[in-house]
Amino acid sequence: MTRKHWEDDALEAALRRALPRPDAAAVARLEAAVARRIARSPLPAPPGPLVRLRAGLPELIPAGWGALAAAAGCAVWLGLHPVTHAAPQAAYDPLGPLLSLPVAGEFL
Amino acid sequence: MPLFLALPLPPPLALWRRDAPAEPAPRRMMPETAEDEALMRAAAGGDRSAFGLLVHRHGARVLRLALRVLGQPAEAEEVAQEALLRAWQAAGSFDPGRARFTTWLHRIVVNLAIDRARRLATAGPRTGPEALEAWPDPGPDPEAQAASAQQEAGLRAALARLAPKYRAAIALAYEEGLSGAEAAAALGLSERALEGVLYRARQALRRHLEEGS
Repeated sequence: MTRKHWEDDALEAALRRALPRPDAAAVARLEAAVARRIARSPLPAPPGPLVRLRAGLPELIPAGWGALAAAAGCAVWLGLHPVTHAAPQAAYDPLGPLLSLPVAGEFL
Repeated sequence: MPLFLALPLPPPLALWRRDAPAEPAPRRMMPETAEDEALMRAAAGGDRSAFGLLVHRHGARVLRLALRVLGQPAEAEEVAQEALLRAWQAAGSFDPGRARFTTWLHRIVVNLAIDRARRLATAGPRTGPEALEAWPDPGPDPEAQAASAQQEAGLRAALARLAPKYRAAIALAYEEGLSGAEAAAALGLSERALEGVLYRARQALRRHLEEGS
């Protein structure tokens, strides 16, 4: 057989014919054997935390976006809201205005 | 004590408690038309019949791939069984977000078959005429077989001399109903890399054919 005989098309066709195929009995044997072995083997291990997280992540994404939007809203509000410099309550003296009167010192 | 601590946990939270009783394996039957991923979810929950449906659906292809990599029916059956058993045991770790079930399963089969082929090669190759005799007949028509018997025998002998990875690439590439992307993923390669492997496999096959002729 020369190289010419094994050009792409011929090789393709020959491979398609020559690649082995299992017979139906072998497939049936396989199914029966797997069923037998699985019946005896323990149940599969539960999904790991990573798989559970990945499975649950798509459901959490909307909630995550909501939380992010709320946090961004708070940040913007805190950034733009005018800060009031009110006098501290403890330092407020109710008689203070009286002391500023010109005659206040004469009675004390 | 706050009232909410005294309330019983709702069912989803109760599952996380260490002292929660183990749930019995579900017994409901999955429909035969259920998708692979749904069947795997059921199998991960302990549904053996769901996994049985998957074996019925994909068993032939699993065996075919193993046979095409190994070339020996008895070894192929063992590898196919082992691959399906591993798929059952690892059903809980199967993540449909990362790969399709068939891609995941083919990868298990191909890896096991390549490992077995390498071990067989180091233990003493049976990839000669003995292995070729064990291959089943490819077609039902005896006249057509007779006409191309010599050519096919040469091709099988050349295939048997290929490296297991090349045989796996050829087996996946010529598998009907399997896209290039799926074939590449089963080998853990990109599509471009698979094309390269296939090119080298065909070159090696031609070389072996020329040597054999």
